[in-house]
Amino acid sequence: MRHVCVVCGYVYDPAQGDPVAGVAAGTAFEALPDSWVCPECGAATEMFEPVEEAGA
Amino acid sequence: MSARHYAIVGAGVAGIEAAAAIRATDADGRITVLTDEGWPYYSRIRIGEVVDGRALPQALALRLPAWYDEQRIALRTGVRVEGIDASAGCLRLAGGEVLGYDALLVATGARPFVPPFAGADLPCVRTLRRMDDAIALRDVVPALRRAVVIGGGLLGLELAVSLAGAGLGVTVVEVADRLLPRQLDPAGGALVRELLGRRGIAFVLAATVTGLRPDGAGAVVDLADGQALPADLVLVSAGVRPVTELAAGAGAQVARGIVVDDRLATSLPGVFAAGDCAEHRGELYGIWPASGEQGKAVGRAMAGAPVTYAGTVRSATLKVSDIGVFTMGRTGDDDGAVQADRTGDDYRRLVRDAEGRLVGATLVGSLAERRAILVAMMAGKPYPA
Ligand SMILES: Cc1cc2nc3c(=O)[nH]c(=O)nc-3n(C[C@H](O)[C@H](O)[C@H](O)COP(=O)(O)OP(=O)(O)OC[C@H]3O[C@@H](n4cnc5c(N)ncnc54)[C@H](O)[C@@H]3O)c2cc1C
Ligand SMILES: [Zn+2]
Repeated sequence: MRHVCVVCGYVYDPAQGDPVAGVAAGTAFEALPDSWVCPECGAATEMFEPVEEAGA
Repeated sequence: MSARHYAIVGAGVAGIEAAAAIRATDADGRITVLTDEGWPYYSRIRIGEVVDGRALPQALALRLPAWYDEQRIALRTGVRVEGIDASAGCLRLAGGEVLGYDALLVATGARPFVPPFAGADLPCVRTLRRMDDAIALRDVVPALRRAVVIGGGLLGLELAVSLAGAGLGVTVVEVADRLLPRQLDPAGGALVRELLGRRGIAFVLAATVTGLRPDGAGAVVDLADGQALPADLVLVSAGVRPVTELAAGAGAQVARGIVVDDRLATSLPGVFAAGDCAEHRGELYGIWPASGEQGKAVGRAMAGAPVTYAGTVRSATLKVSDIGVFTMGRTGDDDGAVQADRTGDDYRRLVRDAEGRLVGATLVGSLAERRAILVAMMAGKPYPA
């Protein structure tokens, strides 16, 4: 599921991963390493919320 | 018909989100992004991490080099745009090159505002906005002992944390009588102060800087009440001003920022503006999420899609370093019955109306309750349930 950073609005999309941080496409949000932070603002994963997908 | 050429000045979040949105809307157009910085798109919010060595500059990049190729975006770093000729549809670049465009985005951002006090031009006075500012600070701080940060807003506090992390003794000077006055009540502000104080940061509140005097390689910061703070480094964090002169020089309407309509179009045909440089419906946002949303909207508008940008809702959630801050609704003392409590390093303040419904909430520290509070407030339900 996609997750949005409530501080800056960055959306983590498992389909994309976070290639700059070495997170492969297909990595679930829950499987991100503890050291992972929001690439745009540096917030930890507690600052993310699931995005309810329309029609999902 | 040959492909349209889109030119974008500025490779910040507004410029890059716009480039991506153009590409998603117009598969054939040529896209050129120009920046006077030597770095491709990076997280400006996080450059404090470079100052104290938590991150290397290249670790703050927000796109892989391959992304620009895949999106067919020509990124030209280290190139300053010196003029716009809107009637001819071309840019004048430093060095004399002329670059034609069919649609132009001005996404030139903002620059720090330094109040005109005496000594503001001393070499020890710095600001932090660009990656090169952060690298320059990183390189000088190991030789320094004491820093004064002028401005105790969100950014000033972040910078204070970075400098303290780099080993400096840091004093924050703030004109208001408490920290984050726009976001927090006195008790919440006091907790933030206490948490940062434990990291060795000192505060002088309700303080007005009257001027700086040179003192060796550093300066003495004079305050209106007579205090004098010696510093090897003075970091000014007193707000930003939109970078408007490029657009203004071409004749675009400028108020405090470059004036744009709901399509992010300026008063000049074919010229758009977005991000920290733009003023929309009288608002200057100066924040990342708004710049990103404007970038996405303007990219679609430039590529001809119907767009109505109605503004950005300011996030209720902030962080100061790793301290969470959440405020929502009506939080004044007169807005209802106030219940404030502190558990360890977490502070919670709830405001309820006569019927017991939650009308406002403030959290500092842990934001674990944030979601439940939002739900209760939206639904007009009692909280805790
Ligand atoms: C240290 C720091 C912390 C921050 N923290 C937060 C935060 O926690 N939350 C938040 O929401 N916001 C924060 N901000 C603000 C946020 O970074 C900005 O709102 C955002 O970067 C604006 O994006 P932009 O694309 O409009 O402009 P910018 O990111 O400023 O990009 C504009 C670019 O255009 C270039 N440029 C200007 N003129 C020319 C020219 N003539 N030719 C070529 N290039 C040119 C500039 O050099 C710059 O690279 C912070 C800012 C800083 C500095
Ligand atoms: Zn974020």
